[in-house]
Amino acid sequence: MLKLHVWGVNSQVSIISPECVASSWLLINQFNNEDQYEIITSCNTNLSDLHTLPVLIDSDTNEKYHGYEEISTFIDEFSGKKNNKLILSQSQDLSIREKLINIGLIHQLISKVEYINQYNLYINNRNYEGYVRKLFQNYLPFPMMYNQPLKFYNQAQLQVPLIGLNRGKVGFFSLSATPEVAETEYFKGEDLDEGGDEIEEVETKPLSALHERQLIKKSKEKSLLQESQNSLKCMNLLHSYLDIFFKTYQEFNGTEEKRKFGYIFKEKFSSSEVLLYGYIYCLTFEELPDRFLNNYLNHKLPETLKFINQSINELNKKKGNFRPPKGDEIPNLWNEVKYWTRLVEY
Amino acid sequence: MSLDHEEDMLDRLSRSKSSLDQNKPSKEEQALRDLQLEKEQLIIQQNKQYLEDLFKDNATQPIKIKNVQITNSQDFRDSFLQAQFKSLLTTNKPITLTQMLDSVESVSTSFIKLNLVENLLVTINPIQPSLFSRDNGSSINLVPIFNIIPIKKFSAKTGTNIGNGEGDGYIQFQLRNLLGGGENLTFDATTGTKTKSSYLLNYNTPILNNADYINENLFYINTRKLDHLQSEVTTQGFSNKIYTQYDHSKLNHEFIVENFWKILQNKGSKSLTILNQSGSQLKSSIIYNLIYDSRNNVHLPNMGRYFRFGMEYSGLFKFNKYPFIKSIVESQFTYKLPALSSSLIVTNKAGIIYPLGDKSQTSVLDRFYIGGPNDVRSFTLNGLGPKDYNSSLGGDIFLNGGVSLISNIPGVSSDSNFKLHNFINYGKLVSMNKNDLTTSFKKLTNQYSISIGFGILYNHPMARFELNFVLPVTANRTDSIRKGIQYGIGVTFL
Amino acid sequence: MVKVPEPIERLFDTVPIITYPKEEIIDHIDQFYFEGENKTNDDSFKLGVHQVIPYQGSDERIRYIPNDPISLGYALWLAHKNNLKLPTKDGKGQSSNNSIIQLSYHAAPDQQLPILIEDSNESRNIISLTAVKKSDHTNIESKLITDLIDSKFIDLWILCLLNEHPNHIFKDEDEDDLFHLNKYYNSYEVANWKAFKIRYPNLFQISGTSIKTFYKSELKSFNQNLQLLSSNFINLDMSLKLKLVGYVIIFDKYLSDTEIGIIIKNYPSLIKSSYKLLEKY
Repeated sequence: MLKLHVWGVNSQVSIISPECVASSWLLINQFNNEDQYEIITSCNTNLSDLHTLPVLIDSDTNEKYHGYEEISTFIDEFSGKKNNKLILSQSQDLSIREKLINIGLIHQLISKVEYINQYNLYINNRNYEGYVRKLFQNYLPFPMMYNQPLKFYNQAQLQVPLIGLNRGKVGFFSLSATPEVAETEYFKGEDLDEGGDEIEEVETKPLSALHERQLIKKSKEKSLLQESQNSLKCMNLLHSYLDIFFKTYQEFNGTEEKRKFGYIFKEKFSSSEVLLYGYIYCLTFEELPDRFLNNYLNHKLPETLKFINQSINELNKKKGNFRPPKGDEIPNLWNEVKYWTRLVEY
Repeated sequence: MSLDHEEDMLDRLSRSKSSLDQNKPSKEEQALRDLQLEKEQLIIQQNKQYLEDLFKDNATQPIKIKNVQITNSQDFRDSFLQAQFKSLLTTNKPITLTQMLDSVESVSTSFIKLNLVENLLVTINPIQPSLFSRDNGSSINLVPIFNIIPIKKFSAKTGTNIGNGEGDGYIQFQLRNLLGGGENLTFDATTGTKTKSSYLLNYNTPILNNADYINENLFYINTRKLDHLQSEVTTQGFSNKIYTQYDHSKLNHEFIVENFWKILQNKGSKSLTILNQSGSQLKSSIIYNLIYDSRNNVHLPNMGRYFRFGMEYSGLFKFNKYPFIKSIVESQFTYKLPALSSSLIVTNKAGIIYPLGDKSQTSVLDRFYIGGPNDVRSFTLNGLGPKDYNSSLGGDIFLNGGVSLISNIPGVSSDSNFKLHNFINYGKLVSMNKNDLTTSFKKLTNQYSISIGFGILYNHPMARFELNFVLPVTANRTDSIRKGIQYGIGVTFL
Repeated sequence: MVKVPEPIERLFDTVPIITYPKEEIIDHIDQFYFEGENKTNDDSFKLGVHQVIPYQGSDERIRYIPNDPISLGYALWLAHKNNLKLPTKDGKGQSSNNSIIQLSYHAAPDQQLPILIEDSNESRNIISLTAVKKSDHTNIESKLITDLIDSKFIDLWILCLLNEHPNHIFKDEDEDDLFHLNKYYNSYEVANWKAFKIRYPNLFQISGTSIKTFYKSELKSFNQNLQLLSSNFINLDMSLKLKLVGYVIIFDKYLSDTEIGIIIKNYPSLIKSSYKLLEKY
């Protein structure tokens, strides 16, 4: 029996982890028989040796598979030659070159689009305050739900600058609260840094109470400005990452038509595409208060979005075998203590 | 309730009235007080005179010290006290009055030198010789009593430091007289303009209960910005020091053993030397300093002379990356010029560092740096000598000095701490080629960077402040020059 | 703005009255010069790496190569692009003014090597090479694979350093590493390379096995990727090939007793073609 532990509640996999969404799609659509697997919306990161979800546990061998990449490879090997209507088998259906590209695409998503998702969920204030933070009340029992969103928020603060987002200091009182992070990439030549938005801010010290009030007001305006600037940058980035998929599509389908999009390899989804749709699903999730990315895609790439939404519906069609966590799987305080004191080992 | 309140009110009123009285004496009262004060002074003066005469007359009066007493001594170890009073108690034979007074004086200075007392008062009481005593009346039996107010054992303080061209804030915890023998343990945490962060643990103690010899052990971790190298250096290590603080001699010695682990982190220098030397290095060295100081003021002397000779040998172990031998000579002479109501200070410094390793290169962290408002004025801090892409690499041989004329400001009392200042400074810093020493030394004989200037200085007990108008007369092409106003704070100046 | 009075301005202009020539710098730095034609202009580059080690190829020449995979990849790429040969011991070939120098990673502004020091008449530029991603690939396939190697393989390299602490990697590590001070310190710094700690914060939350588990899982994925890359080696771009060669050679030659070394042994044909490519330079 395969047990997939994901973020979420009941049979809804959380948008905070597109990898969880895509992993559960893979599992649901790969197995017809519901007693072969179960998806547990446990939200318990202690179950994973890497302290991240998703984690797939093969209860027969007691092996653990971490993250989408490992899970997709394992499912592919595990399910064997069975012909699937929806999903390509990596080992059977793809050539070596296609396999390499498939891995490359997955990697682009995990190492780049992931941070856009983080920006959208945590750094975007409307989404974080209005939706994401409240989500954790459903995921974790008291008192664990207080700490976790903050932890993710802090992680996002550090990680989002890696792709060049949210670099300026926000707010008046943040005395360089976020440590200087080296970008791991330069964006020269990608037309992203136009308009010189990397203006160094000079810290001004307040001279009087009045001056301080003015400064705070100004800094609020500034942070608003910065947020919209960041959002713009975020859209640009998303576009450039989607562009990689468009180009790959063109490469394999020989079409010259720009922005046309469909199945990349054959008339089925590859594991990279499933993950891409997982990301788009999370980025454009309809319950989010600020759906600026959805609006952007709708406006700029309506055809593509239509195809992606169709694909998402297709992947979402089948109901999976979900169950809530039980016993030691529940991420409550008692289990946490047991885990720390090594009374329980997962 | 209301009554209470009223009472309080009355209470307060009456109190304030009385304090008002105290604060503002009437004219008559003031006159009376002045008179009283005058009288007191007179009496003290007379007493002093009388005592002095008495002491002079009785300088050779044989005295026997029966015992010594000390009040508030519960904080001190017995062995420590015994050692302090040794000079008074060694002999059973009679001593002269002068000898006794000297001994009492030296005991008191020991306590003061070790910073063990807040206040110290000595009274000397005569006692009757016992009936069965063999010597009858030829010598006086005395008992000195040391009344002391001991210092607080634990103290914590925060504050700011001002050093040569830098300032910082610190928090300090001090445990004094830890084991009852003058042992001190200090912990310092500092952050400031040049020092990013610093933690220092200092344990010092007199050696064998003798206040003339101090053993000091330091452990520190600090990160300092080195602007002239565009780098940062993190230092961790021990420094063990033994030094003397004689009161009978102006000559003192210092012996230091240092062991450091240093990490030089480049923060923006483009010099290949800096890039190449970045990284970690272990430094172990022994240092000896000979210091002669007869000046009347450390910051702004107008009397006495100062001389220092220092030697450092680094490379005690095989793992020391940049072994060297280093020597520094420093001198300062002062001359009074009463005709000009001025004084002249002549300072000279010279140093050489000689690489011993197979790399035949010295570390930029060990080299000499000169220039700056406290050094060769009219140049920026560490602004002289070899440079590479704006980084001052320092030099292996240097000679610098200056002549300062300190004058009273006309129309201002000579006691004022404000003085006029005219100066001429010169300096030269070169790197040394181990294979061609003569050329290296020849470079030191000409092409000096020279500057002149004048200004005003303020001599504070803690530091000296200077505001000068400065002009460079000659300079090397790579020197960083400062023209016009230059401001200096510090404890040592050229 | 306050205007400086003219006499003072004139005074300021006249001082210093005499200016002496600049003090020369005599610090000597060991450099390993690439071989090739010396271009006439002043432009030159220096590649700053951890250490340079001798490598004797089948043609008996002793070449000096950087001892970490990223730097070796860059050294080969620089040699390829500028039509140079790797530095050799005998220095028979004409040496160019471009070189490799050994540095501590503390020399780099972001504490990561390799760095490229570019000199062009009097001005100097220092570029950190781990942060740069060349997006000059027009071919989407090459871009994807470059990105894959640039992050996955570097992560594996960092994980190997953190888990297996191979010796003789860093400059001066062996010389003065009393009490293994540097070893501990290096591990601490290595975790910050390529923002590794920021990208995988969960690995450092709880001391223990997470980082080992992650290393194992990355090794598995490395094995799979290598399988694909090795069978597709001839089709790769030159820049990609050289990048890959850097990893293969260092993993094979200098990390042979680590887990990575064991895996790489399974790809003899890839190893063979890597050495063959290296010996062209």
